[in-house]
Amino acid sequence: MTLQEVARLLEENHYISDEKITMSVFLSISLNKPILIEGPPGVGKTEIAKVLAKALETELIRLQCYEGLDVNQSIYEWNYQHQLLYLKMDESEKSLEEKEETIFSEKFLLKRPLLQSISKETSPVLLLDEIDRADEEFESFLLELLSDYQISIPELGTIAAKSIPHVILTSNRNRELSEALRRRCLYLWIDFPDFEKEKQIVEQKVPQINKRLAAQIVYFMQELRKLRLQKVPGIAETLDWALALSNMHFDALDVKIIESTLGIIIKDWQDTRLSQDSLSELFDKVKVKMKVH
Amino acid sequence: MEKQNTISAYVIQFCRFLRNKGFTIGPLEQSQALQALEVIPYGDPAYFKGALRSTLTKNKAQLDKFDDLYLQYWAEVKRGENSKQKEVPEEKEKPKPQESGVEVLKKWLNGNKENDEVTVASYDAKQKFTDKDFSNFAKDDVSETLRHARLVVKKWSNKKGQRSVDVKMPIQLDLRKVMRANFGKGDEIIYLKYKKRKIEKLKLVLICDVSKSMELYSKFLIQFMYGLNQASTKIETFVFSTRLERITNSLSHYDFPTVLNALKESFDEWSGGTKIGAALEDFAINYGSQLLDHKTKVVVLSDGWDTGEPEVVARAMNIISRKSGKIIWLNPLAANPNFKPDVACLKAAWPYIDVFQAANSVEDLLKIVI
Repeated sequence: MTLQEVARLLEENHYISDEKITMSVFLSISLNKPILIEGPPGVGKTEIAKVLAKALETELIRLQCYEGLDVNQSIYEWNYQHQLLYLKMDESEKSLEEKEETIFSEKFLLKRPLLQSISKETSPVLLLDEIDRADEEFESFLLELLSDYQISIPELGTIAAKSIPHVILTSNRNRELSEALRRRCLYLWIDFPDFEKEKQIVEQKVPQINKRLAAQIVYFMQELRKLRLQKVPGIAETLDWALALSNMHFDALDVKIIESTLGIIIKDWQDTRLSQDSLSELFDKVKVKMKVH
Repeated sequence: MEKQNTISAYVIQFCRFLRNKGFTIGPLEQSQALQALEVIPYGDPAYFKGALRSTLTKNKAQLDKFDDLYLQYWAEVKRGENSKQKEVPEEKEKPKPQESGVEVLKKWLNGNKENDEVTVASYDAKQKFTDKDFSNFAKDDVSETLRHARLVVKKWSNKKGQRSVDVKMPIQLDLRKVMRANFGKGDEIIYLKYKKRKIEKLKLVLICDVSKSMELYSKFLIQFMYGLNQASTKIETFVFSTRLERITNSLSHYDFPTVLNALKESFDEWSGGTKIGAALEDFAINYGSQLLDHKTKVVVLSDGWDTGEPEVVARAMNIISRKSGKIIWLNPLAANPNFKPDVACLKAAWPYIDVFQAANSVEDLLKIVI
């Protein structure tokens, strides 16, 4: 697959990309390397994995990380109940060793996402979402998988990948990830999009929207992000807002509309107060920009 | 083939260049970079740079620096090539003689004359310095500092947390874990699990002012940062004058002279002006969510002499105090009995400070309860 093909695939699947993203995705596919994507919330980190799975026409296996996530929930677990039932039902005269061998076979193994991802015939996309929420110990489990694409299970031995999955890790930087994990990945930082990119995204995801309204919304969001907010609204908020306004059949923004729908884009009371105070100022800036535009 | 070799050689050289600038690049990253160059379309400089950027940067800070360093490296290479044509290769190949870390720190202590930072108003203490010989700075016996630092860390960190950890010693049964461990074993309880209260490790972020007005305390400061970083691994250290720099990695080496050298490499504004507000805000925005949580204590070491806006300080302190467990402000000036926190910056920061204390020596730190 060439760089241009990757760019085309992303575009066909409605992901507005830029050269950095395309390059990282391309290199990750051609070098079989995981990508670690960092960036503020709501800029489309997770979306890359979804789009990639769709573009490559393969399965998306997602593991949402959280504090306390362990091997049992992420890699594998023995199906104890099944094993017990099997032993009780098995009345044959098998030796103990034979019985043991049977119950510790793949049949009784519950495959969790990570093991699933390496036992597929065609390479799936493996998304490890919000890896910064998982404990540091869990990161260490991952190292074997990410560098050698294999998983060691004491009773069964090492299971090597049938096909190498496309691994995507996302992080909101709530915790500093270990150097070891970083070294095994390609690094990609996605920031808030600039005006043109965000407008394209809005027009693509909310096709029924009035062009003028879309531009106004995006200008407003761009200005809003320059305020010192606690929770800076991402693209997801822009899209929600655009969808809401276009469904209410507005053609243009005004201060009143913004004020009454501010809850869609701002989710923190201090931020609400701050942006309410500077609402008309922000809106004036939008008007100026629209004129220049 | 010949040309291919040259490019790889340049890339390897570039990797070494980046490594000197603090990037974590080993043979693995080098080979990745070369592999990446094999697969990208040939001949486009933008792709070339993009491929190197994707493979060689591993975090946001490196990513931000990459573009500049890339330009810097190729400018250097070009200069080298031009000089080759003039047939004076010897001179260009050699890196310019570097000042030793001690020299730079000495300069810092003596007010960095080359630096065209605006001199900050400060109390007059400079004459005490000029006659001091800081070349024995690096030769100082740091074992005493280390011993003190260990004491400080120990004093600060013996807190029992809410969470429990598994232990082998039969201290207290953990019934929940016993249930979980024996759940699949039918009705027999085979494994017993024990627990004890987890001792929380000290999580500390140090933000040190190394501006001109702090010169007097520089020796203590450096040893303080070095000692604490040696004593505990969960300490992040930043220094600032007009800008903020993370120096945790530079401090991680055991050997003190090496640390001094690394410090010199990583920060170039020793003894500059002061912008506390901007520095704290930079910290709050760029590192706040990553490094701070409610168990992390933030120690700011500064005299509060600032040229920036006090509102910025207040805003930054607000963010930091919301995200961190405690803010401890150590002020070397506070040792003076007549000291009053009436500098604008300190006034702005005051509502958010949990502990305010004088700190001129490691012994002072032992008095602090955090």
